[in-house]
Amino acid sequence: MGPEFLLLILLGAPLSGALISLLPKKGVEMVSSLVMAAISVTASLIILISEPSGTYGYFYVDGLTRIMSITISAIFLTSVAYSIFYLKRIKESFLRFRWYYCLMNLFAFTMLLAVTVNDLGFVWLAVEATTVTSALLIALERERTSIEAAWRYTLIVSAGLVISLLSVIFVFSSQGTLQFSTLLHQPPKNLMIMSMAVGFALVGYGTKAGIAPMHAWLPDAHSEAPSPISAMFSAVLLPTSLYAFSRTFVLLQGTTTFADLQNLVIGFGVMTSLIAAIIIGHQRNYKRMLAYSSMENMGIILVGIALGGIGILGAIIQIVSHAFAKSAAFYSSGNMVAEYNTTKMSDIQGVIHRLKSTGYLFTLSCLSVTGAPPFGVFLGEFMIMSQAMLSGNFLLTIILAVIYIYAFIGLNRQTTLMVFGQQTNVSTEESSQNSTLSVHDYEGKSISKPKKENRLSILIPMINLGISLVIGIYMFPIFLHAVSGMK
Amino acid sequence: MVFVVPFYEEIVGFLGISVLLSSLYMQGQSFVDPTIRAIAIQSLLITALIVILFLHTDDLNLLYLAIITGVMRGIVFPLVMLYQVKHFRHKLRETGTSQKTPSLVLTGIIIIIIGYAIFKSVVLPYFSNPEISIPFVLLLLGFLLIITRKNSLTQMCGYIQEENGILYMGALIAPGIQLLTEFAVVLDVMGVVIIGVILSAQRDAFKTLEPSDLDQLSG
Amino acid sequence: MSDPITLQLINIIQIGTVLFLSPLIAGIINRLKSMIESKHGPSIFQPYYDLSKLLRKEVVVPEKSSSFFVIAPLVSFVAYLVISLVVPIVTPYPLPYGILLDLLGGALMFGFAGVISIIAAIDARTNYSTMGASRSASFTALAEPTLIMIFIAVAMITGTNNPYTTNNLLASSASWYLSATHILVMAAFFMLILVETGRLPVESSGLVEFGMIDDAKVIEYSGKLLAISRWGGYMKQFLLMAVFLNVFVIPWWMSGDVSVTGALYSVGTLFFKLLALIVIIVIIEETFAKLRLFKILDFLSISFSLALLSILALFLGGKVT
Repeated sequence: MGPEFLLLILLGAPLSGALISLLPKKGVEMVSSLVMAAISVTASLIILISEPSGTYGYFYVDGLTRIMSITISAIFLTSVAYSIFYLKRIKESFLRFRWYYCLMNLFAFTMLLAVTVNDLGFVWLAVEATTVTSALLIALERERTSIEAAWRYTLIVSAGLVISLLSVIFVFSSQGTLQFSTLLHQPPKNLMIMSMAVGFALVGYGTKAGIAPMHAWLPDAHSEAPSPISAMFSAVLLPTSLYAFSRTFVLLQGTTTFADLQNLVIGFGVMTSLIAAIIIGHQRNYKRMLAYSSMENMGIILVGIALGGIGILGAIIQIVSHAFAKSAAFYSSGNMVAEYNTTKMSDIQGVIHRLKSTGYLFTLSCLSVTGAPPFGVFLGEFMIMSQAMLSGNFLLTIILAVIYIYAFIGLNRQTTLMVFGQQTNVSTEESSQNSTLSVHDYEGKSISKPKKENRLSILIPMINLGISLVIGIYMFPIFLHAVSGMK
Repeated sequence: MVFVVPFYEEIVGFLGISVLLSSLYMQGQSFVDPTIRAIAIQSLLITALIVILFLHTDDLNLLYLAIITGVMRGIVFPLVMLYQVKHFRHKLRETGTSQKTPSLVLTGIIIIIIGYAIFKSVVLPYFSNPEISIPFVLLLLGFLLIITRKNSLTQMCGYIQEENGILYMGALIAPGIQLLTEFAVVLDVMGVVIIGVILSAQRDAFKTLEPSDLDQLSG
Repeated sequence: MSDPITLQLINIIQIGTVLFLSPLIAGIINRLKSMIESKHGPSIFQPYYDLSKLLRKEVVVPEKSSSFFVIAPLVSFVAYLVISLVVPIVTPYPLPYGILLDLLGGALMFGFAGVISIIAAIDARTNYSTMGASRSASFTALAEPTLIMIFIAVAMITGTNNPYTTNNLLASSASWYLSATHILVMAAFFMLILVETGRLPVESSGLVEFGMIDDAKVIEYSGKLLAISRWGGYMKQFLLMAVFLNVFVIPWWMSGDVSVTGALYSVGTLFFKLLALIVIIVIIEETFAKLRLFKILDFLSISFSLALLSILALFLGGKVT
């Protein structure tokens, strides 16, 4: 099997999944989506293991492509599986579920296209197409807020991405081609135009990746979307956009303006992380909190990409392990949404008493995304910090350390309160004080007895969290090697 | 065949300024219908501009591009949006903007001046043709339209205007950009417009906007 | 041929044209309006009859007003006469007094006449004339910057504010004539003419107090003074139209011959240019509804925007850097 064939399978599977989902037969959409997602995971695994880098027709494959495509297809697979559980709770829906699966397939397809295609114009196109395919998914639950969030998402992201199209045009007007494989071996003909192209790409793709100050849509979309979609957004959509940015950014490596651009990008990355890290601790809505955590991670990944060296390796590790850990966090938060029907933290206390496994999973995945040691995110963050140290930028190192600590404390303090807090909510206190009201027990359910949880809803986040852990452990020797080699 | 266009520079300059004028007209409109018509006219003006460029440079890609632009942005998108206006008559006029329109027009002009000043000092030295400041300014005006309005369809018009600016700039500085890319971009914009129309219809279905609901979307 | 006497003769022709052709233009406008409204309408010479009748009547002055009230129409009238010495009406070359004022000076002279009439209207110390004065002042405050902006644009094209230079440049250079700047200047100037001459959609001439602006200012005048201020109004309209046509829209068909016949030829062509403009103005007047009073500010701000944009067009088009 040639690599082109594999790439076609990788892309064709979700595309055909989208078409099959529309068949008017009950259940076919779930099965086809699952099967097609599994096929694309297999295809991307084979590409990851066996295929060399290079240009294949319209496609360009290198290490980053391979890692992004396996991440995207894996998150896609788990999200489809989780949707089967999650959609049961939705009563009034914006879309038929058939269309939901269809759009989800298309969403995955556009992201896979963005990371495999060779032409920068098509990269832009695919990133923009992810907006089209995913906007309606946010509005799925058809509430005032979710539609508003979807609208903001569509408008802000499309308006921002226009700027990155400008960057594509600038690249073309300077270099005369948009083929990434050609551009890579071609020194910038007009350095200033290319530098401006990088700046525009930062603003444009940064809007989609939630880089401050263009992040206004991000927390809304993440908190209002159904959990599987939030997971896909946070885990793979944002890195896909950063990937698109890095494709333009690397073209300038080794030129005289590169140092300035590096500083610019690092500035944006640090600002994003800092803003997110400060806001995380003050959130009242746990899905928004997770969204800000994604933002914080994206900022750091952006810094890693800008720093180069082992920063890039760190960024890649962080992208992958963050994807799996954050999707686990969103899936387990989906369990809580399904159980409590609210996303307000104040309404949820002592998850552990009612949803035991979900509580543990949520805590662990929150620890993981904030960079607790055995998980992959820790390695990534540490490598980026090391690279900052290595490049002699001590201030940056210190700022990064502060951000890690701040975000870690901010996020985990809130989750701990939520998960392990006493299950004494207002209603139970009231009922104990006013015996007349005791019939109105909290939502009429038993307080202390843990509920039997849906096996699927536990298994999927568990797998993802496991993968994040495995990455952390598997990469550890490489990490040690890289860090010790620094001296 | 190279066809010499008489008064090429003047026509291009005039069309460019007309595009800006249509943009300012949209800034000064508080009704939705005329804004949509203005975006149609603006797209057609840009189509005419691309046709002139085609006659000047004899690059067939530009002709195809003009056809796509004229049909999609000049006719299809506005019709899609006008169709929606028909169904929501109560959204015809944007409340709260009608008193502000003259100042919005002047804001637009100030944006043009600032945009031009920035453009001239930062970007222009590296390009040969000064006309590309018009699309750049058009882009900024599109942003202004999106920022200052609350009506979904007007904001959609602002988005199309931004895309128009990009198209215009692309036609001027990178005429050879792959046709396939352009075509796909147009399809993509259409996707955004359709999604926008669907969502704005849904937004309109909730007529009252309760602050308590939107409170969830803050922070 | 360019001896001083001929030049002086041409000068006299020019002033005579402004003085005696301007009521005719007003008459034609009124007749044309009536015809479009399917009425018979007054004769095109009606303004002359009105003027001669008014000139024979006695003057009644408000009791409270000062002598300024009496002088003001004469001052405005003279101001318009001065302007008619210096703008290209019958010649594409400057006349002996052309050095007096350039376009900007002309604009300021118009402004001066306007201010005088506003002050006189306040001096009449009655409700209606004061209302007219305040309306006129608030609209002029926006109209005047537009006019100045237009002349700045013109100055940027030609490097000078001389109307004759502008006329020659536009007549000879097609690229300037077709440039976006020039087209926008024309649009802005045209809107300004509608405002300054009190045409719909800005103002419906007549004595309906809801919309009257200029008519309110002269409401206390009578007899000879009314004749003078009316005549001044006709001249103002004529001058604005002539400048608009001869400098901006149709800079051609003016005889460059320094001779009396050449000047008379130019008067003839100007008349036909004016007729064409009048038809357009009357059509606008008959098809548009009157704007609400507060919307006039929008109208003016649009014309100001156009004028400003015309300057920007020079930069955006790369003609000036």
